[in-house]
Amino acid sequence: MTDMKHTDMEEINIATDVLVLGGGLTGIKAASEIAGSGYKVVLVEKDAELGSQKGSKSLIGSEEEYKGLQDLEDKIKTDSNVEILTQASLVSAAGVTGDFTARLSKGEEVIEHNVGAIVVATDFATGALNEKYGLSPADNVLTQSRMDELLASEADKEKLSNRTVAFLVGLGQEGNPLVLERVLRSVLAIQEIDGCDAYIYAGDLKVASNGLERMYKESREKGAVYFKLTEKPEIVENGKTISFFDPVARRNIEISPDFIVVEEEMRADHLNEELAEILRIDVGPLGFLQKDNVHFFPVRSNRDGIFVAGSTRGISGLPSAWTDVENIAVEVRDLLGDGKKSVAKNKVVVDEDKCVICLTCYRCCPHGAIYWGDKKAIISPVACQGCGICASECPMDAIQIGGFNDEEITEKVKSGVVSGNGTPRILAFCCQNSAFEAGEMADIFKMQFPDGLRMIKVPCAGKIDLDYILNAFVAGADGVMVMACHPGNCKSDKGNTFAQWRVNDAYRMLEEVGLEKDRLCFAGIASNMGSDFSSMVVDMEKRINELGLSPLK
Amino acid sequence: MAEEAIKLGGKRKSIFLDKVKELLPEGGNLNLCLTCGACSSGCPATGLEDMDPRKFLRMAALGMDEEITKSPWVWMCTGCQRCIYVCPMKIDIPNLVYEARASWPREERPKGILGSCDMALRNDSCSAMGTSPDDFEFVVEDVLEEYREAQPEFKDMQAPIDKQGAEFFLNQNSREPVTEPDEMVPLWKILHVAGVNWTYGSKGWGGENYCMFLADDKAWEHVTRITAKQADDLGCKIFLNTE
Repeated sequence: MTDMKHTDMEEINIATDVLVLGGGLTGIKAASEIAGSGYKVVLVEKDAELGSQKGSKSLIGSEEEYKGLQDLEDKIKTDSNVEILTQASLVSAAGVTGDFTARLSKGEEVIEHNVGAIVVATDFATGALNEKYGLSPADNVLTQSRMDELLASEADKEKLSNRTVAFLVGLGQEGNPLVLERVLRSVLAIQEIDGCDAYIYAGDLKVASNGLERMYKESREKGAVYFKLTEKPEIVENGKTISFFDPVARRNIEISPDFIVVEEEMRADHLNEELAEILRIDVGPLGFLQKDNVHFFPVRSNRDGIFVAGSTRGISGLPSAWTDVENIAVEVRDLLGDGKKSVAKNKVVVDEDKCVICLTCYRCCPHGAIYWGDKKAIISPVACQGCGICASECPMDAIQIGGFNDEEITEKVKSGVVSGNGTPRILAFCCQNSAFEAGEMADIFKMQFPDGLRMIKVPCAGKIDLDYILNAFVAGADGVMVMACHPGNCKSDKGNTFAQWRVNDAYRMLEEVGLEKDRLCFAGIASNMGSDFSSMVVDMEKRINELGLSPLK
Repeated sequence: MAEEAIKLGGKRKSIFLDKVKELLPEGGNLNLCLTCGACSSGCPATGLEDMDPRKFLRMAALGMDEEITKSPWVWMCTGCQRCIYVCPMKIDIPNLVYEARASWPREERPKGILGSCDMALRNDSCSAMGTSPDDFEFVVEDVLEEYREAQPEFKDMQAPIDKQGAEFFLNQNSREPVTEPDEMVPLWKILHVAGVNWTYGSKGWGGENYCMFLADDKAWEHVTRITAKQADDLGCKIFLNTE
């Protein structure tokens, strides 16, 4: 069954410039990669300087990584394809993928750019964790950043010779490979200093990142002593002594370090949330711009044409941020191509006569694919993911989705209610991403399947209109099932939630007309749950058998 | 009452561990302990003298040279190497223990081991009992004679000493020829029945090497060289260590 048969295609022009937000280690790479593909890039940085001049060098990574970044920075500064705007920020971004209008402010000036894609490339921010250890800033209490500064200066390094340095890591926060990498870098540097000893108090040592295990081992070989603790050690007199009970030596071990270095947290840039609001993209846990959903591709946002790279979507060091950027460059080429795009004419159609521009669709579209013109809402066929949430929410039924229009589905509802020799007639509306596949699996593997069951495929549970459910009962269905993806697992983020709301609405209506609630059910399922599908539909048939056939037919 | 806290800081004084690391291939992996405790779980000496292999290594790593080199526990390690076998990082704890033994003044090392090593150094037998080559030859011949007569099925049995060109060179527990001579015979019988071409050496026949357990490198080498040379001089192909 092909849903796109006899589809008329049309060619549209799209903008091919790309906006990169953030001029740190991620943004510089993004500008360079995308400009390298032949697209014009506008790189926007809020500070006066780009990446390598910002903050501590050690935050960028190893010496080679730092040099690599500097080289790229020099390269893009002379690249005619890259326009760099420093001390600038994004004010608004109207439009959709292939046709965004970004307004940027730089001082008094507001600059407008028409771009086809937007890459959000903010870096992580750091923060002191002294309070978590009950330590106040003092000559002997250093943040990791301060230690990095000392180690970067030959004169300051001298101060560390013949000193004892204690590091605290992974006890004030959940361990993180990047946090640990900074500590390991310091520990290794310290061991090159005459007579300087390092003791590391660690909650956990997260070495699952390139080269960390090697660095850890090297530091051990050079004499660093690690204490793996389950709780913070006792720290007295603001770090003058640190002690803990060592279960290995079965004695308290007390150290009086000359310096105590406190780990720092690495967190999302506070700009993220502001950008997410302007760009209408989702904010996930801890301020990162990516929701916890296995269906989301790592560098894509919920809106087509807006990508999230590196620390924008989760704490990333340079290597992983750059990998993200390379992936984005491929996606951008796919999306923008040569500026022409072929789209299906009927992918989504808004009826001008019905649309009253109430903006319900604009508000409920999880993909930010809808804007409006003078006479009707406009749905970008490039940005639209075809979930159909808008079509089902539209109070005027003004929106039709290609392959899943109301007329076709109504027809399927009618023809799906088959007389099954007195067995219950059940219609199951199945999301094509989960329930429909599970149903096909159950069928192919010859699992138990009620005779009177028919599945109706929908692009997303969010497409299951309240009318479909009610019409099914009117057509004589004895039972109706609404089968969606599990909570938090919807490709369109909220499609399953909308479906659940509509089922709740339908329950209320069934009650009013005196039809048993048990004739309708909502279920979450995944595409690989064939046998669960089978038992759900069999259970439904049993329930209907207890109730008897529908009084409506 | 808990022991006093271990106090660290200032210049780390660990010389001992560094010294041992220099002696061992890959530094004996002595810096790689993950403190998993697998070594201590299997060690026959765990718990003796409130010590175990993991604690021993930790204390060495913390530079507590004095405490670990003075601990009598080092003499309770049998050198069985089970700790290395189970260690995920293949840490050579037995050699650390060995070097700790070696740091003891020779005369303060355990009397039994010390005495046995000194006996082995008395003559070329290298026997921990101090038995001379002549006495060993006499006992072997005497016992052999006795068994050939009493047990006719073994009338052709041999117990050669210094047999040129024998395939196997065997050594012998030092105590048996002196206190339990009959204990030597079962092995002779097996070798006889199996038709093995073997010999003892008049030099270097003592099988133990208490000098090794004493951590006396020089004496250990002396004893080993005598027995190896004897096997070579006789043209034996295989050295069969019975201890």
